[in-house]
Amino acid sequence: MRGISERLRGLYRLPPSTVAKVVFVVALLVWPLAYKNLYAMSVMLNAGLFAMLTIAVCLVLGQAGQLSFGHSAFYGMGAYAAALLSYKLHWPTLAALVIAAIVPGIIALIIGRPVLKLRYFYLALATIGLGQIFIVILIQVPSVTRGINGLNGIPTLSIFGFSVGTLLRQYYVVWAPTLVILLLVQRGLKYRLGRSLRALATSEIASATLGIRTANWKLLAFVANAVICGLAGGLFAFVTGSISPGSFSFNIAVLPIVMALVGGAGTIWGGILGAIIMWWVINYFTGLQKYSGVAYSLIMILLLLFLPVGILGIRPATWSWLKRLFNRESLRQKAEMALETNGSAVAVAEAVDLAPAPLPAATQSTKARDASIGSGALREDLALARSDDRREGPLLSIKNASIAFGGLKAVNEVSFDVQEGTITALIGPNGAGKTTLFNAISRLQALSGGRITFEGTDLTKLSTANAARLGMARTFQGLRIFVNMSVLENVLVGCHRHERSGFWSCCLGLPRQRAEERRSRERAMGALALVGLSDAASKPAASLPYGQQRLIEIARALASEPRLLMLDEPAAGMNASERADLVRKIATIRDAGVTVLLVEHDIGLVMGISDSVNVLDYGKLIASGSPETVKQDRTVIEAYLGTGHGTGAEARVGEEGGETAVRPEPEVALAVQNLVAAYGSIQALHGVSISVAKGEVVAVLGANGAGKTTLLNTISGIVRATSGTVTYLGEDITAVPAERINTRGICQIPEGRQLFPTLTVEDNLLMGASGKRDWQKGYEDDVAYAYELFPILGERRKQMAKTLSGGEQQMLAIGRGLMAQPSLLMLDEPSMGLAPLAVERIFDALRTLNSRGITMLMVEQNAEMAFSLAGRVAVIQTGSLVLSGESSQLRKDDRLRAAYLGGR
Amino acid sequence: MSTWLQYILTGITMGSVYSLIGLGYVTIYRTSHVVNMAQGSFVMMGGFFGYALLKQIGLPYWASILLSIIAVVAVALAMYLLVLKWIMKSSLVNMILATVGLSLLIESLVLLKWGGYSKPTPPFTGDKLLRTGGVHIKVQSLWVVGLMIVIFVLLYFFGQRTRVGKQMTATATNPNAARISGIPTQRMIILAFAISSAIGAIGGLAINSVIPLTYTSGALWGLTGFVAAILGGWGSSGGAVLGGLALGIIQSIFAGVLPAGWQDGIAFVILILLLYFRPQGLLGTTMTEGEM
Repeated sequence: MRGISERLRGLYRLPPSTVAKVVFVVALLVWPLAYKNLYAMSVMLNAGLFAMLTIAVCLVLGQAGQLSFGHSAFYGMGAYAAALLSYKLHWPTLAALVIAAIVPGIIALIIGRPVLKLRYFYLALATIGLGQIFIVILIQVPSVTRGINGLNGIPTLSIFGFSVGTLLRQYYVVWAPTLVILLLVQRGLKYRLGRSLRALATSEIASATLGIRTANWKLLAFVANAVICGLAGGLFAFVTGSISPGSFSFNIAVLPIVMALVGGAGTIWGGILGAIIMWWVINYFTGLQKYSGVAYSLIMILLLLFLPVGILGIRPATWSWLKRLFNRESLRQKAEMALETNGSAVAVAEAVDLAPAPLPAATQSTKARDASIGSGALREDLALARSDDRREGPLLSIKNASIAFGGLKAVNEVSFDVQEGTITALIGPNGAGKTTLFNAISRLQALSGGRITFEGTDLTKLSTANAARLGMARTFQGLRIFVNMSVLENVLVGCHRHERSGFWSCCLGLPRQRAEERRSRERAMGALALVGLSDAASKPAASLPYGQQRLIEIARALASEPRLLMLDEPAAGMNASERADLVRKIATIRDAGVTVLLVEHDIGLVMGISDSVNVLDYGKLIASGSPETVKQDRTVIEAYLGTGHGTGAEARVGEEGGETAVRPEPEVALAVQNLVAAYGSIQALHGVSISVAKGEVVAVLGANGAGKTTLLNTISGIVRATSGTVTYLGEDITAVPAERINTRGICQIPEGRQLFPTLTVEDNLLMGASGKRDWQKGYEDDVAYAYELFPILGERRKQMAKTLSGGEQQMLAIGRGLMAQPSLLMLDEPSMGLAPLAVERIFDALRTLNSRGITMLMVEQNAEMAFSLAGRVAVIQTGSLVLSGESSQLRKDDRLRAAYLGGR
Repeated sequence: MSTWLQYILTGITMGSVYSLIGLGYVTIYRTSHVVNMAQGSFVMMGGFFGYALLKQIGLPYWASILLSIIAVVAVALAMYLLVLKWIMKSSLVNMILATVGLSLLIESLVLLKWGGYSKPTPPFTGDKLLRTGGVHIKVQSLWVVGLMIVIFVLLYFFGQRTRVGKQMTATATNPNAARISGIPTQRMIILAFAISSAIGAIGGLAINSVIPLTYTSGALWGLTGFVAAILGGWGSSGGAVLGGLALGIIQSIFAGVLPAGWQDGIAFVILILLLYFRPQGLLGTTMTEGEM
């Protein structure tokens, strides 16, 4: 008795969406018994066939993000296989139905293999082609297929003697497998199968670095799609008794996609709903045959425009962005929100709800020892990895690695080792080649020379995924979290390389899969506890603030229980206390037995925790050793702080200070008021106010990820401000498009130069003059001026921009900016990745430009160089202005050091 | 011998239209990264608008051609400004789906207006047959090939030598850098749509008297032109032309050898072989999946 009542209460506690699903399935199965309407039944019969096709679409398009138009061909192949086998060869109908599902699967395997490795649109084209070939074959081989007339008199399906003759039986023979597939697939999608597909749909790069063999998973989805379509086709042949090529035209390939869009391509349930709704709509239009094509193409376009998330994707948030759509808000934001509301909110909440039992216990115990390494699985496994097969020699060994981009050697003959169980840091100024080298280690970037070995295995011949499967995991400087998943799911993707379950074990929920999932969840929760995100596990990953998204990436990498954890600027965008916390966490990770390779440009952060430090500058390794020795190394100090730190620079500052004192009221050129800006869900600027007077040079300082570049991008119009105003020379330019802002005399010299690599030096300059109203006026003079400032550019005028050296590229970027005859130059990291001599040359040129009256706002990480030029300095920290003032005063301020160089 | 020569000549005519369509794809893709599956619709509309203006309204031929091109360009711009522009930033997959939807819409509307049969137009300059050495060729075919060559050369010079052409290249390589350099990138994309729809319309007007177009021709021609662009090497104008001509000739030879009807499938068999053995195309360099 008690058992029953408890179960009833359990039912009561089910989330409403689950109740709705149960009611939906029961209703589909029961209504034909209660309401015997033959018309409705036949409509629903066909809707059922299309529901199957739509499930197939949801799998490939909604989950794996691959656009295939193969459904009509696979559907047709199934239908013809079933018909020919049963009708011509007199096979038992059930056997024919099985073959009908297998044949398209094999074809999909053959076609998918090469195509799925190529760009996304090749699959679309190849599958359209497949449909075309299929129709041609049907019509051209009339001896077998009876050509355009098709086959009639296909026998009735008989399942072990049970003949499916009546409409009612046919209804069940279609809907029973549809619902079975629905339930299986939707279960599978909650676990490893779905996670892998959704992960690769968001970021193939991040997926591969976690050991997901993306091509295989895409192929799996594609083949499953074909098998489901084939089964639907076989059923179609038996149910209708006659088939012809007309039933498998291109329109039939598009229809299930439209149905999936109606319901919301991200969810299988939406697909079924969409199929039923659309089939009734189409059924209405068949009376008006002429207009059916117009109607359904219009529905498709309108859906894509106004409701890309489908009916089930509608959430309160969706309505608010629908409203904003009419206010012409940025589309990018919408897409991200769509993912957020669509993919994760429901599915994720359930995944967490339905998690196997021990989850709460694991959460509690791990929470208890939050900062120390998590209990249970993760710690044990990590320890195991350490003791397991420890060998002689370094864990990672880099020998003479070089990487070249065109004429630019980004990494030049670098060699160093990473010893097991240590924290090894790779530091250097921005643009020194740290991330490039990192990419080469994780096989995202090919080496142009040298070798990298992991435990003696040569990495240079491995794919990204296979390299990761050796036990390497990494994070990314520009975040690559899976925005369409929950925090926990993100971390679970990290467990991928330890899991074995494939399609069937995920869909059927075999005991082995359940055990594996339980273990993965423990590991994932352990990893989350380690980074302190246990409480956020069920939240959509995209809803977390920037700093916490970084922690998700770290947890995700940790969950893969790597031997080597590679962190690419993990502290970017964090404030001082978060940084200090992070340092502790990294030390904990090392103590748990994971070797850490750390890229940072913040010397302070790495010195305290690293066992060994390697310094890259300008692509070369300039120092290597213990933190103490590196700290004292003269070349490091020069590379890091620039050579300009000395009395000369201070004298210049002094002069400028004197001048400004004499000048009475400097006229304001640029005024920024309470500027707020966001990338998708990540707010990058929280109300920044700053002003620049005419003729002044203002430098904006701050750690990586503090929002400096976003500030410049928002002023130049590349990023749209959420609120706040930008005024230039008295005019409000907040909402002016970027190309017009250029015309008004503000010119941005972007981070990393961003030249047009395939155009010549001359043409790059020509492009810079695009914003002028009458570009020919003064053009020759402007070009001559640029060449006078940077004579080397004149010598190389016919050379393509990509062949220039880093310093020359920076000169060209400045030259290109000057072509617009700007009154305000916004320079983003002009010294990035450049040799000291080149930096000197560029700052000399900037000084000249300033003396000729150009106002400047610059972001610079080379503090000494910035101080040498700027009269005023502002410091940004995690999106807010924390400090500003005369540079002569600020350079002695301790707070500056703290904000800029990190917490200590 | 002369039979083979005849196949090749026919193939070059067909191939020129594929080249024109391929050029259309490449022009749009290179400025905006949009794969415009409605490219074939431009060809089909060109043919039908030409017919309507010439036969139904009775305008002189030159005026019909000019107005047809303008009308097709207007439709293309409406497509971009009303639909594609808004979907562009959200997802590339939705983008392709939208162009597929648009081409289906155009197809259905043409079917409603002009019915399911082809509406041929007369050749530009008489329907004379030129005969030499056992082969014959329609004067109109020379028009088709000639137009293709002229358009290719013009496009080449436009891209390499003019300021606007270089601005389009700049937009394609780095839209944000282009914007901060003062290049109106939206206008560049609109221009690309205008150019490529005009090219398509010209192709349709020219081919309609050689091979009459039906409302479904757009899709088939468009896809074959897409295959041609991939065969030559996706993304390059030279590749589109080379691929178009190669595909036209191969198709025409197979059409001569195989029974009628098979030729519609040949392009796609070639496509699938190509994707297996030389996905970068004849001219192209290896292209791997990138994240956009």
